[in-house]
Amino acid sequence: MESNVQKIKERVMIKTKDLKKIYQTEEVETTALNNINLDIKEGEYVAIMGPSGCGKSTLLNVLGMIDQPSSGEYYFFGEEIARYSERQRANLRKSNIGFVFQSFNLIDELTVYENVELPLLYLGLSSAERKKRVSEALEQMEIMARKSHFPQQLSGGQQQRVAVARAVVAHPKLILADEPTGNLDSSHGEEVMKLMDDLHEKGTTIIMVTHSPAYAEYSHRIIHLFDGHVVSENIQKEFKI
Amino acid sequence: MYWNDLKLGVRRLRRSKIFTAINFLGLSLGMGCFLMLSLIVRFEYSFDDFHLNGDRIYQMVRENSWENNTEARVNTGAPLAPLLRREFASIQDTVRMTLFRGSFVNVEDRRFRENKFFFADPSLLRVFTFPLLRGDPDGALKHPFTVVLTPQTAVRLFGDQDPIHATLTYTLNGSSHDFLITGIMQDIPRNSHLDFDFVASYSSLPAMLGEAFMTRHWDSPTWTYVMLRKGASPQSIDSRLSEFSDKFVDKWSFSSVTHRLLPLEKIYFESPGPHIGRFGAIQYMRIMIVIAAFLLAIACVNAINLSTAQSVMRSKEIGVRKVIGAGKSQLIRQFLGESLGFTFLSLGGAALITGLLLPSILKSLGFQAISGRAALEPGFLAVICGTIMFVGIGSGFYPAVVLSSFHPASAIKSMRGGKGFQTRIRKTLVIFQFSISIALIIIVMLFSRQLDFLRNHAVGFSKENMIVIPIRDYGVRDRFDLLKARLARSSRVISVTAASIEPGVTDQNGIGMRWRDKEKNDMGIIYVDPDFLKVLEIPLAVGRDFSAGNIDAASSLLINQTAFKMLEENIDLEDDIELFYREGGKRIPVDHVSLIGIVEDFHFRSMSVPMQPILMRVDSSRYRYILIRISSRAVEEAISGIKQVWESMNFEQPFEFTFLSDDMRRVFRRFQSLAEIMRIGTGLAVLIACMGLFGLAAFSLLRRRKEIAIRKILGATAPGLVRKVSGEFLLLVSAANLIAWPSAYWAVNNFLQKFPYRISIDIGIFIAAATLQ
Repeated sequence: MESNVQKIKERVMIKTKDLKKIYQTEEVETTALNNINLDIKEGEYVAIMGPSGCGKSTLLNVLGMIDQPSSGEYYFFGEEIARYSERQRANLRKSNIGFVFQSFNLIDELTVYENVELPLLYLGLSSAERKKRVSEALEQMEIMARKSHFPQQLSGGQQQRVAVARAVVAHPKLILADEPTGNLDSSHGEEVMKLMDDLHEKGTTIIMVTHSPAYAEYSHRIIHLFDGHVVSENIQKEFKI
Repeated sequence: MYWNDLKLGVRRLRRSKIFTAINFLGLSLGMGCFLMLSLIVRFEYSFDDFHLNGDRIYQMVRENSWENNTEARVNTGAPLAPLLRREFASIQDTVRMTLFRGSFVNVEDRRFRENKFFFADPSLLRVFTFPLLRGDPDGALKHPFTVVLTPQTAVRLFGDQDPIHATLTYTLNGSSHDFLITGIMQDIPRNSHLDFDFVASYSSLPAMLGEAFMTRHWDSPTWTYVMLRKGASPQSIDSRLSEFSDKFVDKWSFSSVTHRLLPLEKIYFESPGPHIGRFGAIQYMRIMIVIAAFLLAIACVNAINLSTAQSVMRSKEIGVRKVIGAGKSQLIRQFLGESLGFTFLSLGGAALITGLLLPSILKSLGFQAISGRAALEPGFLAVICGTIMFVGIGSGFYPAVVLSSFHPASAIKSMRGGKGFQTRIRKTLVIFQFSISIALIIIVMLFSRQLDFLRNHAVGFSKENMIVIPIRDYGVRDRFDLLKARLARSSRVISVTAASIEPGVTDQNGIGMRWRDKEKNDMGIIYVDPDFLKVLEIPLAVGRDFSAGNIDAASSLLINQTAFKMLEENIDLEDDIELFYREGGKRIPVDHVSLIGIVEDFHFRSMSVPMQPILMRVDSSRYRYILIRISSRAVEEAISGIKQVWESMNFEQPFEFTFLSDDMRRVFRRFQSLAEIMRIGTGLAVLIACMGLFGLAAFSLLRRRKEIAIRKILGATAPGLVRKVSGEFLLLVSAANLIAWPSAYWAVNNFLQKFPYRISIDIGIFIAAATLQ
């Protein structure tokens, strides 16, 4: 038993080595990420902080396989994926990662139910299985009563709950949240943070970008970025299963 | 997945109502016109496809050559068919058909003027697929003076009575014969070049017209068709026809005569005429196909442009989908599905447009009536499906590829990638659309100008207030002088004359002439009343007119200036000229005449042919048209007076008339129809292109609202902003002119070469078209 716990504790979900991301236009070259070296274990709750333009969202995009690094190595559960094609990254992403964005990014023409169902359609699940999972997610986020509403008919907090439901409906191992409370007032923000906390309690790894030191305290570890570098890491709480 | 995509697509359309409306209207118009024109073209190309032996049936075409000219005609004369059957073993059967338009049919005391009373060999019913509803196909046309009718004709003539074994009286040139009705044939399909109301037995003609018609008249109005034996090669016959014609056919005054086979499927478009029935114009079909393709292309380009322009509104959605896990192929499928679905919806609009407009357009264009059922035939349904697929995929593929290629990270932030390239593509497409529209405008304007030029150009004679009465009964011709004298007493009649032609409309006869030891075998000749020049106000260049102090008009000759030049000006007034014709290789003298004058050239044929040399002499036995100039101030009264005089003469032929100017205009009816098609097509092309540009401009404003707001804060005025935004689009339209002008010039210049009399192409039209855009 102890050895199994040890194995889980040591299982590294994400490992990056000298990760770089450079944006190039005709006139300017911008280094958004500069030799990022990270280890994130499965089950961890990590917050990334830093001033605007330091590369937080870029790091999240690269970790979420939405964007490709310019150089360096990126291991996801031991698999080196830095040179994966878009198709390969998409396949890996949809099975393993859920996203929560600051501006919710719900599709306005779809209802709450349809927005939450969307990742399952891309996974190719059966109609029955989709129905079961969507209902579970909506119940979990306490938004079932609004399942037939469109996003523009909901408050900010409700929209973010729908976004979180969409992020968890495929039972991902990792949730990436880019300032999930950025467009919310404090009470709704607290609501969302509580949801994230509950998810983490159930074993989901969470990496969250935030400006708020208060919300960062929910995490085990805070990584500080500045000009594309990791400048410091603070351990908030002991990481244990 | 598909159901979700469909729901999303419908909701998206409802959200952007204006752009949906623009796209819907554009596609509906483009597809509707394309389908409408396809229906017309398909129908036109389907002519004669219902004949079971169709692949073995040919029309005989005769080619007459003289000096450097060759003329093809399909009136081959009655003697041809029996000779062909005798000389060519691979010809299984022949069919002769003869038609005399404007003859009369009497049933009891009722008289009908008929233009579709045909005479045909009994083999007509074996060779062609014209089934009899009643009567024996083997015997119905076997005996002389038998006739079969179509059901419509039977009802028209006999009402509810059974017409079988009844008789009708057929009158031609004052001579009447009774015909026994031996059958009723099925109504002639609309897509048949042969169009009968009556078919009488060919064996009736010797008794009516004499044996010479059957054995010696090689240019009589007889059309000859052959059916080859199964497996026989038409080339084997074609290769021997020259030798056959040389041996058996009377060349008359031509240097050579030969024949060739024209397959049934090509008769409608390629028969050189004179036409026995319906005939088409292939160049018009080609133009219609081009216009249809252009309209569809413009509509598709609109759809592409509007879709890619809308991509800025969808970049976030696309980014989210990609983040969630959508693959490129799934996104392409989604967008193609939306495009196909929208195209299918637009088909509803297209069907409405086609259903509403098709009948009136067909009528105005003078096309044969097309049954609405034609749209439901499997072949046409395939065209519809093909159109949906082509438009849906064609207009959806590029936007689908573009949209699915968005970088997810950038798209999420509405900073989609590839902006520069997309904008270039969009601009290129706009330039393409407007190049077509501008080119069409230029072509239509020039074409209309050419048509007006032909219609209004001085023809060398006075055509106004001139009514024309065709002579169908010998009795009218025989008593013309009396008729003329009585008409002259009518108060509103200014002058009366007659001729063998209707000036500017019909063709002349031919004759040979010999003078000063020189000979010309085939000169054009028209036979006129002595007052012809005066009534039509045709000036004399040299000499005198028939009626001016000339006692013996019948022995006088006039020629036109072109004839004088053609005779190398080697002829003088008072020269003796011998007129002759050739038959069976022999020279048959007609008369001796004396040249009394040279008239200024006038367009005795339509303006679509060049000026030709012509002789003119007086011969009342050849008159075919009476020409009466009436007062312009009381036209109805004049016509009423003429009718009274006509009826007082108790002719067999009922009174009928047309206006010469109308008949001359009708010669250009086909050009008129073509101009109409082009005008409608151009109007629609411009409308669709402008709608698309409006949509793009609206999107541009939407995208740039932040920029516009900033400019306004900094002091920009509304007119200034309008100038700025519209200036960018004006630049595109200006660029389109650079492509459109040379293309249009090339197209029109090529087309105008067909006309001997044509306008010059000036820069004004091009500037007008550009300004209009």
